Amino acid sequence: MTGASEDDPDAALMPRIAEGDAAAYRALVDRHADRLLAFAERLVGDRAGAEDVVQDTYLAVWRTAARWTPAAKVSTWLYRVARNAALDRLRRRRPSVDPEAVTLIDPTDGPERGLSRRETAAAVRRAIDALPERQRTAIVLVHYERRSGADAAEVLGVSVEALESLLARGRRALRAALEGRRPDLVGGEP
Amino acid sequence: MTEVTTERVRTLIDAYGADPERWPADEREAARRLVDADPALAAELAEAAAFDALLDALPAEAPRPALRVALNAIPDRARLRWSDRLATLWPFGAPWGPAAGLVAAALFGVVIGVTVPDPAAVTDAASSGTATTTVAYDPVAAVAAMASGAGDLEYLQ
Repeated sequence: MTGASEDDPDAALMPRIAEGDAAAYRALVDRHADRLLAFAERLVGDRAGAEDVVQDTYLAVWRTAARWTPAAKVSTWLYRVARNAALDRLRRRRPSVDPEAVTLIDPTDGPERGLSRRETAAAVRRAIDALPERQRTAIVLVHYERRSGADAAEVLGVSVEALESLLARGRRALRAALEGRRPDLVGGEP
Repeated sequence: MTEVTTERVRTLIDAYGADPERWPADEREAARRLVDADPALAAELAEAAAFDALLDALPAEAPRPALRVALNAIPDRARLRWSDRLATLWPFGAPWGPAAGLVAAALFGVVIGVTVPDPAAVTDAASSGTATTTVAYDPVAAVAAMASGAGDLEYLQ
């Protein structure tokens, strides 16, 4: 094997999955399903939709494992497949809205003080949902999934410089949307 | 180690936030040293850390066991045998009897189509053998014919 697969612990599983080895497939489920679910939930905004995205992703793994090439890490490929599944789902859910072109709206919707941590989480959720899809994916991959900049750039199909621009713009938009809520969070659980 | 400028550290903080573990590995140590040596950068890092904490208010819920069950069942579902797939289309028992009937009906139709003469050809042959004469209508001739008792004439208006 060559490229990224040399130090990829998942790379050996892919040829086995391509040959129909269910044990290898289930090992890949064990290693990545939970992270992919968290990733998908932050992209599509709800648990049921995220579960569908993860199932679509693993169905694609089982059917198309032979198409994976050692140039990409398996986990990066999984995130890319999951992102595409999430985009398909968002397009079906909101057919009149291009998810790539969604612009930030102000999610501030009432008095700021006395918010619980749960309400703050909901505010963060709404602010992330309101980001343009590429900024949202970049933030979720790097901040929440702790993927490297290079990995996140590969998932999005952009250069690292472009990824850093997406991240910076996304964080600025989130700061603007959440500005009034910050003291509530820093104060911790009420 | 990659050379890192103060401006580059600001770019890293703006993009990746305050945790150096999220910064590119080849710039991490140099960027950390710059932050340690520059109070302004340290203040920007602290600000970014507070914002990171705000983002972390959004927790990831634990996955449902049912999802894992569904994921693990995908190979079994995808490996359904052809007979199983056929059973989903024809849930009324063994499909071979109805299938044989369908084939027999199709063969019967082919045999009928090959052996029975074309009705149009039969009609043509029959009409070509009659003594019927077709002429244009002529009232004078018609009257004359009636008068003479001639039959077997067919007039077309």
